[in-house]
Amino acid sequence: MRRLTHPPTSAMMVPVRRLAPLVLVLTLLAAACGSDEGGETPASSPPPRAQVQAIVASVDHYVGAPQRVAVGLVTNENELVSFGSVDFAFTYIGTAEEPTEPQPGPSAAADFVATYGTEAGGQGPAITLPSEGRGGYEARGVVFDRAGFWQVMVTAEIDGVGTQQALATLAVGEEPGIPAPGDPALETENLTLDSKGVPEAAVDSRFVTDGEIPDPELHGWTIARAIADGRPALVVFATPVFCVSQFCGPVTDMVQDLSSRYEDRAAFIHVEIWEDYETQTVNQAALDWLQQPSGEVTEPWLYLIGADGTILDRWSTLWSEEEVAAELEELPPMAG
Amino acid sequence: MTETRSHGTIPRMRPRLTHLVGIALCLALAACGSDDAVVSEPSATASVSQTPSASPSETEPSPASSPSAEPEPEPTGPEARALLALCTVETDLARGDVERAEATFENDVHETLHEIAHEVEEVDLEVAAGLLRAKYDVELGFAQPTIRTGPQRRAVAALIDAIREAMATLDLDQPACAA
Repeated sequence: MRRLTHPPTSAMMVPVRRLAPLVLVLTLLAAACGSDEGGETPASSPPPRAQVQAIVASVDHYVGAPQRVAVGLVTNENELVSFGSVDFAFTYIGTAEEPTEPQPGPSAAADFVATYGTEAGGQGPAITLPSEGRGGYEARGVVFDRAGFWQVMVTAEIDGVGTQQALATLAVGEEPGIPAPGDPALETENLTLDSKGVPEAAVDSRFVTDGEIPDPELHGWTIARAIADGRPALVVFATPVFCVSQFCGPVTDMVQDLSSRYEDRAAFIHVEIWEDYETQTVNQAALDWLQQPSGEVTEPWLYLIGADGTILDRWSTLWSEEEVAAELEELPPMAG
Repeated sequence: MTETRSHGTIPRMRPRLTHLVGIALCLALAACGSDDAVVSEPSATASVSQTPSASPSETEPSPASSPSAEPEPEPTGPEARALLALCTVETDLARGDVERAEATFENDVHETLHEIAHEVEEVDLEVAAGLLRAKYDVELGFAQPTIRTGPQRRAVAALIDAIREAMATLDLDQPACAA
């Protein structure tokens, strides 16, 4: 048998230090696989369909600043856990060079964030099919006090199933690998509809299927111009067509929706990831913003930039439209 | 507005995509030993390149070549299941059952398409691009307030062709859609 090749822990394996010894990788993989009660099999196992696996969906965690941590939950029947809230408890387990005994860290409640365009309803965590609910659980304001590897124990009271726990591992760096809140925004000349000599698909990958760019209002501004004009900007980095995750298209649609509701608060910008997917050439603006020191680029990302050019907030992977809308509403209305 | 985009050498690289919920979790299950998330080892008899003229359709399972030959077992990997589910989507659309078609697509096809695309982009980017474009067309169709079954059937048919091409690229056996 040949397994799918993509490492299951890659999203959480952005190395804290460039080289993670194989033994640590295997340790983390084992940790990610052990789900119930910290990897021990409980005496009375729940029904097979209820066994939950956790995967960290957020990336680029770092020390000393409040940040979001997102985790997706799925059963061994490839169903999802959706709706309501769950609890996260974090444990520090050391670095690649110095693994330690688990040391308790912060804990937080995590709310379900539905993929844009999918059902957000439901009282408590429940087992769902993708057509019934899709998304992940997000805790806000989590502060890590040390760089290294952390585990998150997710505890969920699932309707009709009972208490389930699942364990996943994430890397935390000394510093963020890409621009983070408080940093000055990069004055990037991203491609726009006015860009000369570039294929339209490099401006928005949807051109290759639609024959047009469906949201021209997201392709009129460069980040550099917004900063120069003192205009806040909401910037989504995503590739709607060539994304191999399920969130990229919908998140761009979400930003388009926000642009129609809050056009007086910010410039709204979509930066396409690919200049040319088939040659694997990444748009320079996406590289400037998203390339980690390790060379990796992750997407999608959403950045909110203030009028003074400082990054106010950022979201990776998936985000709540209501949460972004609330931050846009805090910005003063602009004239003109 | 001035355009000052650098015209220097742009690094060619592959973004490592964040593995979000479904796809990442499916892969995690693969790593944890779930048979649901593994693909079959390419069969020596199933390789298109090894049987260039043995079958009238390189992307269809070969019929038994002689009366004494045992029938080939139907492929059962996740890709084959997704392909068969996509056949069902097309059938449901033909019947006008849009709701069921969409649910089947979301529950039984969508995630595996991402996995296939991720696999095939390691081998043939043109094929991967075709698959992702076809997938996007189907998603776009289902996202419309009113779904027109004719164009959506054509989009699904195109996606079936694209997934077959991707499976052939990956040397994966392909089941035929039910008549």
